[in-house]
Amino acid sequence: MKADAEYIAELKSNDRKAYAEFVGVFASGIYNVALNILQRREEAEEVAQDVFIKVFQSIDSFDGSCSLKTWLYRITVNKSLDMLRQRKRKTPWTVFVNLFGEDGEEKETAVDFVHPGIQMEKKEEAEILLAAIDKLPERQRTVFILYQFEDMSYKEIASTLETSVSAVDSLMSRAKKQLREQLNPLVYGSVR
Amino acid sequence: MDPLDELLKTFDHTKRAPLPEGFEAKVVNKWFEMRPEKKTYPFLRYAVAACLIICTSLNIYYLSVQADVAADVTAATTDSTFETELINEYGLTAGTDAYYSSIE
Repeated sequence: MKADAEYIAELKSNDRKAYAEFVGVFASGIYNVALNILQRREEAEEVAQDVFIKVFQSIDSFDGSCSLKTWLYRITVNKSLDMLRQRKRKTPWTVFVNLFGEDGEEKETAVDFVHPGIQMEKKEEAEILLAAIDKLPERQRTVFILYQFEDMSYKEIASTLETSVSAVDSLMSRAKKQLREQLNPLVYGSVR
Repeated sequence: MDPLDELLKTFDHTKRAPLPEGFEAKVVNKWFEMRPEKKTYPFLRYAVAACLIICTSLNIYYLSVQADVAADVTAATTDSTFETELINEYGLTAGTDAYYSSIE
């Protein structure tokens, strides 16, 4: 993997190959972060595309105050949360229209993703977990995903979300507490 | 054991979902299609802007000249009142009252 400065210089040189290489290196991470937050493949793809377009548009104004990866993940998280808010803002009528589409074809609305790292024999519990994550407040959900699924440290998450490490710690604790409250009765049939 | 911890323990976070087919090419093509402004010559934009500024300046100058001429014409017409004509005709200097009183 090249240094940030190299990628930036190559993107500024306006070379098509450089763009392709940049997308090739970062696409998987960005798509998976968006997918873990949104849990819908179609929306994650849209967000990932928007992230790269935004990066290409603003590469000249990137000040290097954080790493390129942190900047990319920050844009991804923000765009994913925007998409979530947009989804929540939809009125019942919009949901009805989207469900059947203009051409009468049913569109994707439900969760259509289970993380590939989850073992098949644990799939049912994983689905419960993903449904519980889907109900978390957006900041808690983001912190939990970046820590558990993306293997990022609290410091990296704090930098990505432009907050403090203690705030990340607090959000993570609250997320875990809320997930346990939802998972325990569903998995074991009783609250522990 | 806590179900959350148990589930997370068995979970391999290093595995990633595969990218949608042709994703990379799609993004690069989208970018190169949506930025035609970079292909145009910036000189043309500056030239158009300069022309607009020159035209606007000339227009403002022309309007101000017209306004000056109009003001001069107004001043010229206001000097030739009936009273002035009487003064010129009869040599009166103390106003028209003297003229009217003299002809009564």
